[in-house]
Amino acid sequence: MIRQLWIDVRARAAALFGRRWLDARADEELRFHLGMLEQRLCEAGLPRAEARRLARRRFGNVTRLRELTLDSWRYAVMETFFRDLRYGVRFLLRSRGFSVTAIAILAVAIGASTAIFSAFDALVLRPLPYPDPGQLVRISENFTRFEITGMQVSPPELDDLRAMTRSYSHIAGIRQGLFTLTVGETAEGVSGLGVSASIFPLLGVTPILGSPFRTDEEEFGKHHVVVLSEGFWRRRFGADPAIVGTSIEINREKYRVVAVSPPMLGFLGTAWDLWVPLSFSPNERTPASRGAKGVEVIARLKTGVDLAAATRELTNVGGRLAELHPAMYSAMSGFSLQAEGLVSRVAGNIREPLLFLLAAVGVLMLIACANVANLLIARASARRKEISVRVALGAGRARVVGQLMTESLVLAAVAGATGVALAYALLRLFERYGPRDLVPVDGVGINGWVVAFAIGVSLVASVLFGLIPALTAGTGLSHVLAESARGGTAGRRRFRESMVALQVAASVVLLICAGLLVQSFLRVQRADPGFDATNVLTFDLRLPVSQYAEPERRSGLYEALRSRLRSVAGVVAVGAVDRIPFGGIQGGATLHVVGRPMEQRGTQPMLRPSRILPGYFEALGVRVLRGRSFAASDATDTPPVAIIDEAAAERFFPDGEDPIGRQITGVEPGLTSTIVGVVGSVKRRDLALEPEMSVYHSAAQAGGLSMTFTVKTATDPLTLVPAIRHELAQIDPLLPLTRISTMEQRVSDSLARRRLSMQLIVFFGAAALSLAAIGLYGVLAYVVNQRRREVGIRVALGAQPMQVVHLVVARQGLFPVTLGMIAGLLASIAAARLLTAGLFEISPTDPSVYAMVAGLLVLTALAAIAIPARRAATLDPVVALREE
Amino acid sequence: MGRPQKPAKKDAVGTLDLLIMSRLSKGAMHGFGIADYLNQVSDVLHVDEGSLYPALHRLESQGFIESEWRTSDNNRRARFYELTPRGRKQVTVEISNWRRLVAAVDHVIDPLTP
Repeated sequence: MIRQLWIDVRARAAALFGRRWLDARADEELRFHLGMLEQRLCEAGLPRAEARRLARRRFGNVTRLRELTLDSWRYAVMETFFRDLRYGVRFLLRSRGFSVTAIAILAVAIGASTAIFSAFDALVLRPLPYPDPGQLVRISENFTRFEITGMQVSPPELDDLRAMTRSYSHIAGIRQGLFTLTVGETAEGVSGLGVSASIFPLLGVTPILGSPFRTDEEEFGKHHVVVLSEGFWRRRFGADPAIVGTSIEINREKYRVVAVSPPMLGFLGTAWDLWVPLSFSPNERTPASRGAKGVEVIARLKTGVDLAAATRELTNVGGRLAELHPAMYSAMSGFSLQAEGLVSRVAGNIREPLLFLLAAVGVLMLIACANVANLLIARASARRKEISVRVALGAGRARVVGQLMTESLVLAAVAGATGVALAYALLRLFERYGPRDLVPVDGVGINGWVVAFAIGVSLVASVLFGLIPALTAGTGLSHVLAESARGGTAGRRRFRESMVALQVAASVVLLICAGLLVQSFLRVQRADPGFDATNVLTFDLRLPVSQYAEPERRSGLYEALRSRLRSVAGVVAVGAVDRIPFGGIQGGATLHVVGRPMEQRGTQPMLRPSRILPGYFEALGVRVLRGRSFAASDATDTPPVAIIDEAAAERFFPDGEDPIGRQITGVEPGLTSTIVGVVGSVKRRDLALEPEMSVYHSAAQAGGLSMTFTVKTATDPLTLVPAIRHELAQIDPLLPLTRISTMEQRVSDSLARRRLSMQLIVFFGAAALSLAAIGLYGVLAYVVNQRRREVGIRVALGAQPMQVVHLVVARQGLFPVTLGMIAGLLASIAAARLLTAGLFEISPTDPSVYAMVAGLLVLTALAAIAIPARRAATLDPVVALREE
Repeated sequence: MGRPQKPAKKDAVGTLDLLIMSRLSKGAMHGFGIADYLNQVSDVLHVDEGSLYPALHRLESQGFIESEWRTSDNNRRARFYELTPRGRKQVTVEISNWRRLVAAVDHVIDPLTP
């Protein structure tokens, strides 16, 4: 049986691809037969030559019989397919103009959808490049009464989680920090994380050099070890393998390099340069520090444990914590612990916009298919003669359809290959010039799945645009001759027109979505953040704890730098803040007015706390509405003062009550301060959101180790960086300036995602519009060409140019355009509703956008109609009638 | 579609297949031997003996017979053909089909025979 199968496969393969083996077998068989015949005739008494002649005659035409013999092995279907394939390629080569147009249209659509899909694949389908990503979870806390969900935990809580849960094989804490690498006399800010030693087995990451730090190195005091990322090691240390075991200086302390690791934890926002052990000082483990959150917790579920079981366990743990520390986790606060799948958390943010983009490229793909279908059907009409000859020679309908389908398959295959190359180029371009922090492009690339997607899209496309013309070409073949006398059948014309209408409708939908997003973007961009971002330079200053342990030293340095910077030419005002708006994590606090009954915990709202230096409000142009700003007289030895913003004043002091002079608590543990002023509210994270309430304290009275300076300048702020660096070096030469930026840049960065999706959808809309215009032009040009004779007769009989235009072009052009536009506008009302979440201060049915798109479309359609219309109007009847 | 159906291939070719297979049901044989046998029992191969080979190869490609090189009676290398189990089944089907066809034709032409 097996042997039979083998012979069969070998024989068929030989018949199809190389015939040598089968040839030899057939030859030998035929030779044997002839030899036997000859021998027998000889034995019967014939002379040898005569016997040979007679044997050949009895045997028949050897060459033909050999061919027939070999033919019995062929797969008829495959043979036909390969023949059609050859015809298809030949056909495409013969009509180059058509092929190039069709392939270009399809390649752009396939390229765009493949590029978007590769992003979707890397960021949504497989966002975590670690083994068994489904087992990874993030553990966080909720205080539902404060509308806080998914909050990071505090160091003692991480210890509790480790001690009280059994669902996880590993639990790791992660804390972001500021790291300054000092080599010789130069200091440089680098990106790094404090991580538990368990992060390596948890993620399944193995260093490429050395071995990761151990759990005992998390102990405070033993934590001076560091793992470098591969990229940082190559960039900064020239990939020197001898680096492992040596020491580098981070934040003015010696850290021993123990390993070099491949990139990891990129989903937390950036490509990290280094990782140090997450170690907690004894201060951070006191009961009071339970409230000091800031530790991100990631865990790996044990095999066999699912998210539901882990959640049940966390609910119990949360209950036990509330019993142990009732003050911290009162029932009123709505405290609970939660676990969420890391995959959906990481992919969740970007899933929606990418799905939207996928839908948009899907629409673009549809337009491209409709376009190419129209091109093909025009070709099919032009090839009617060829097809009728084939039919006359006995080709069945299936054969004709099959051949046309094979041609479109060849077309799609070439376009698909070009499209993948195009997608690759697009991704490289995006990698180089796109916004890096916005989309982590590292994992995005062309892989097997992406290629499979492109092949799938090409196949579906070839069926879509190939089948309909092929079927219409296959019908009514008996009428081919009668039909060729007139300009196409009504059915085919209706098909062409509906393809045009479809393209118009799809472009309208894309353009309206694009218009709404553009309008939203412009409005968001113009939205008032509550401060003036023009000409404000910002930079971070991070003080090493070893030199600046006492608050007086810190405020001394801040004040010294501030007064030095104020004297730099071109500087208008200098301030500083610990949590700058549009600068990431903003923190949260509550507020209680002293002398009032304690507000119920559940109704307390959240405020954004910051500590600032005098001059901050001036630098940002925030108006002081009542009272005063902080002054140099507010120092460590004077009573703490506070400033609240307008929104907080309205909430806590309604009915015109004067907040000035009132005392507040609750912002920081043990801090009671007196309100000295009220300032305007500012937006801190998103221009599209209402400002959140803010409360300010003076950094001069109790400043932290890191501040962001804000320098208002008279000219381009970045030109002052060298002068500022010089002033800082005068005070402390080893302090680096990090994260140098401008307020305008920060605000603009916050719009990056909005801007990118707007740009992409505008690009798709423009592409759709030009495809639809090309499609419309193509159809009308074809119609005019087909009806030359008829038009010629009419003109000869005295028809006016306008009548001709009306007859030939206006009806066939404007009718489908109008139909498509109405359908498109109706579809847009439905489609734009899905956009609502991404819109800002604009209704999804904004009439001005709809009118603008309709106008743009009419203009484009008129332009596309104009050329064929002119050709029809200026047709010379003599030339037209002589042609046939 | 109104297009004429292609005639079913139930002419001499079918008969030839049946004859070849009925010879092979008596045992393995090479092409020359089969031709010999067919010449003895009928005159289907009157025209070209070589037209046996396309039929043999077709039957083999359909899986009804299989073949291998063996040594013939006069010590020459020859390709011997043999029925496969599937071919054996096919022979019985074909034979009963043939009988039915003959009976049907008989039934039709009987009244006409003088």
